[in-house]
Amino acid sequence: MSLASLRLPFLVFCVFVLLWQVIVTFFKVPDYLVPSPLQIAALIPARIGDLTSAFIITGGEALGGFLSSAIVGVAVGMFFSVSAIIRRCLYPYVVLLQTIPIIAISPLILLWLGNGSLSVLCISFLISLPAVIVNATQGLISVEINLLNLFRMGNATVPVILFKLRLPHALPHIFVGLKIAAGASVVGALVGETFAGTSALGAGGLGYSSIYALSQLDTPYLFALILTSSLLGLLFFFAVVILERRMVGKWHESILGDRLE
Amino acid sequence: MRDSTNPSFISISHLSKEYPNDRKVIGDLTFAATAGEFVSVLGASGCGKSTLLKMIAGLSPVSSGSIQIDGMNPTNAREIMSFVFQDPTLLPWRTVAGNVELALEFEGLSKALRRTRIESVLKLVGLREVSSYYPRQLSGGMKMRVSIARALATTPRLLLMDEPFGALDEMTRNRLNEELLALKDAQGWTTLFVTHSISEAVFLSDRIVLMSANPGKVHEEIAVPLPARRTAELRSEPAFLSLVGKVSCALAAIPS
Repeated sequence: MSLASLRLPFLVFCVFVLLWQVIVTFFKVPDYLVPSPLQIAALIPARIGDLTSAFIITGGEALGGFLSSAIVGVAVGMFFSVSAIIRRCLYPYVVLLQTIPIIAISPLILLWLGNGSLSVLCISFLISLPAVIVNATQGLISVEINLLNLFRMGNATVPVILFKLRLPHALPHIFVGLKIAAGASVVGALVGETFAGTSALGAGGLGYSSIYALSQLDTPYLFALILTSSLLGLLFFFAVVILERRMVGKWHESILGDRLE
Repeated sequence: MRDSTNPSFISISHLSKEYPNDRKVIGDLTFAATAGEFVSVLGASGCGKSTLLKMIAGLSPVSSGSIQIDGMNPTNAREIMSFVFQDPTLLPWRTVAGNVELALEFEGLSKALRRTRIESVLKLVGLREVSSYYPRQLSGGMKMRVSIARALATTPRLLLMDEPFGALDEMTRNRLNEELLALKDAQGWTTLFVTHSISEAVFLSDRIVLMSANPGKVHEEIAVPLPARRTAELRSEPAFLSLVGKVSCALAAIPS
């Protein structure tokens, strides 16, 4: 993806914003339903302090959820790849974890961990985790048999096979999981805050502030919060993409393919 | 070639391989090879050629019978043998040099020693210019060369090759055959070479073993009395062509 290829999508964005402004002004749509882009733009500098602190709180929770799901997810995948028995016993529960609506168990998390960022982080973690485990496991176990034979010919130990063969081989798969987790962790943090958010730290996170703005019918601020949340999601996603390019960009087809286009 | 006096460097006796589902892949196979000999194994698909090679490498357990390589069992003999697989089996995240280095890491060599070995083996197979390339930047023939370089890096005394050139075009295959023989002349390892190509087997081998299937066993052995120094021109000589004819008739005569 180059800057030049972003030119047309950016044009579409400008047209969209312009149309929005025209429609809102022309039809006199009330503020509390749909504020105009100009109104939102004017509001952002005025409340940049609130937005920044909410961004930092939610960003911190999502980052915690994301990093813990990345570490735990890859570690679980590694255990699964080393022992087929462990995998057969526990893998169905990973699938189960994916199908349980985490929102449904979030009241339990609240009960155990109390209101606040720790609960939110935990919800974000649980939502992000299955994608990492499933993709990491897939990558770690799908090593070609002759590559394994090559390592066996070298009398390689299980840890050597894991770190010199399985793990690098799984990196492209792991990054698929991490990209899903990057989006999910932000969603998890936002949704988690609507349950377990707290206003103890300044104005609370983005999710909590949204609920609050809604109750005050402060729709322009709600829109500003939505923009900030989107920014957070994008930031997470692109951070993972950049890391992926650094780590597998030189050798993996999925990345090199892009460059040939 | 310090074992050239030993009549059988590899000795396999009454070897059988049965899978749990009672399918007998190899039955009562007996075979020997002397040190420095180049032996090709020919036979129909599914006759157990690859299984035989994997058993010699200790990658597939033996059901009954025995395999001895220079007096060692297959697992202990891994130190002195290298396996070249059907596909190049390179690690895509490592460069050419890094892939060769892998075999030396298994041997536990120091970094400095590894570097000099890589340098010399890449020079040997003509890959010095591409040592920092990644496998995906190489052609099929080049990848196979890297695979061979990796196998030779540990200075093996036995080279097991499982249809290494099967996926290459004929021109590349022929050239690699010639290069392989030149390397063998210089280094003198013993080779067991599984192939589907009759002319390849005749060109490379001192002796060709024909296997019959169900269960796999040695059907016939054909000596290849061609000169030790073999070049591309040999392929058009009558002696070579008549041997190719003889081997293909013998292969066709194996009851299936």
